[in-house]
Amino acid sequence: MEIMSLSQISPDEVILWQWGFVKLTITLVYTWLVMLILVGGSWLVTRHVTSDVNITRWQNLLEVVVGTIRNQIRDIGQDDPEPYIAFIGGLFLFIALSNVLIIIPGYIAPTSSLNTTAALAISVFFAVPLYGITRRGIKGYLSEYFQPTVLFFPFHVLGEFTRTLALAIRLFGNIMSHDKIIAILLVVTPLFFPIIMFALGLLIGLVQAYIFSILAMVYIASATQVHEEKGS
Amino acid sequence: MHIDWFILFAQIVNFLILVFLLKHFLFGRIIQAMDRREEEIKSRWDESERMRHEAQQTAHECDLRSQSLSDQAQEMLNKARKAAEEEKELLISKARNEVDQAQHRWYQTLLMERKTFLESLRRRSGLYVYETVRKVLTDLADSELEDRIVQSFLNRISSLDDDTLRPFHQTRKAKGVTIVIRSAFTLSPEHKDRIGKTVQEHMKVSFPIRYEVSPQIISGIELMLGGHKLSWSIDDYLEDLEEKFSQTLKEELPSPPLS
Repeated sequence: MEIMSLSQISPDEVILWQWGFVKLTITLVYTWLVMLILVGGSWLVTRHVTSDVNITRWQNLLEVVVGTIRNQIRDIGQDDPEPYIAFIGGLFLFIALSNVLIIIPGYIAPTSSLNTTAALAISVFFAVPLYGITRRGIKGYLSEYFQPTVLFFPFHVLGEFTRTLALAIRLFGNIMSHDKIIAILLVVTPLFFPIIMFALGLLIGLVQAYIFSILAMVYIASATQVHEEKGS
Repeated sequence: MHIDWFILFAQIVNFLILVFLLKHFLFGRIIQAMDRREEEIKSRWDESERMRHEAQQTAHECDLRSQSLSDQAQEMLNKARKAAEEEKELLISKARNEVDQAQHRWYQTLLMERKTFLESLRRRSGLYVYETVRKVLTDLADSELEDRIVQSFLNRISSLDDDTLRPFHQTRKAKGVTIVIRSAFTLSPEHKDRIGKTVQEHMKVSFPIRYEVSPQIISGIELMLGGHKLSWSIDDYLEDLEEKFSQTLKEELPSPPLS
């Protein structure tokens, strides 16, 4: 495989350091890079945060981002977006930044690793019952699995697993395939076309980040909202 | 392409750490700042609304006060106009009264002057006429003038009717009464005799007669009996003359004002 290095198949194959089963792959390094940019940037901007009318451009940018996320969560049906914003916003920002950074040469998106997307999907998988139970109690949440009859319990459980799997595979597939398309196009039309594909890749990356976080929010909302509709 | 459980677990932990750190450094602070700003804007908005409301209220009060002041000013102006009008009427009326009084005083003074003038004129006319007549009569004949005066007096007594004589008759029975004959000149014994006879004959009284000379009687003779008087003198003519003067002046003077 001359046209495609191992790292372009999966970043998990690039192991920088290993000791037993503990290993440091390029996925983890770029994940930390994304985390560092997100957290460091937030810290730099918000250490002088002010509620005054005159604010810095960076704070304004963050306020726009946070405000948009908050409005999106509210649009899905959560009157109070505060408990979910860190989780949903974290998902979106992490995936979006991971995908956007592909414009940097040599960077490989951590989201093109199935391990990363699976980790995010598993986080959602556990977050849904956690939020549901927090909001409605164990009994209220579990009763949802036996609706409309007890016979539907296996299907509900199956649904939980499959949608988690779908989340993981969807994101992984999109990002990984994009990398592969770029690699193949570089061989076929090496000059201008890959640039257009890069632009498309940025769009796809943002769309996937949006889809992933919106779906996570929809799952959480479905676990927390039914009780309110019944109660109302 | 397989699942590496260590990396999977590490990524889960990474993600949870990321969520925790973002919650602390990004969402918590930003949302807090946004909420604070929102509250601040809301409080400013409320404050501005309150102030606007107050301003409107104040403006309304000012309008009312201005209207009230304007009304008061108009009222005061009307009062002042009315007072000025009354004062003007009063002053005009006072001035008119003063003018009337001044005119009245002037008229009174005029009347007084006229009276004085007439009196003076009468006196002087009498004197002039008397002197002229006297001079004329004297130039003609002394005794004859006195004769004529005495004769005229006697003619007058003779021509008196009963009504005129009645007061004299009533004193007939009184005692100690004297008939006083006053003349402007000294009567001769003949004149006295004639007078005595004529008095006794026509007045049917026999009281003693006392003769006096009085220069105030202008060219005439007077008979005084018990407070009654009978006379002939040039005064009668002079009075007639004065009457005519007076009549002439009245016609020339305007009638006195009514006020």
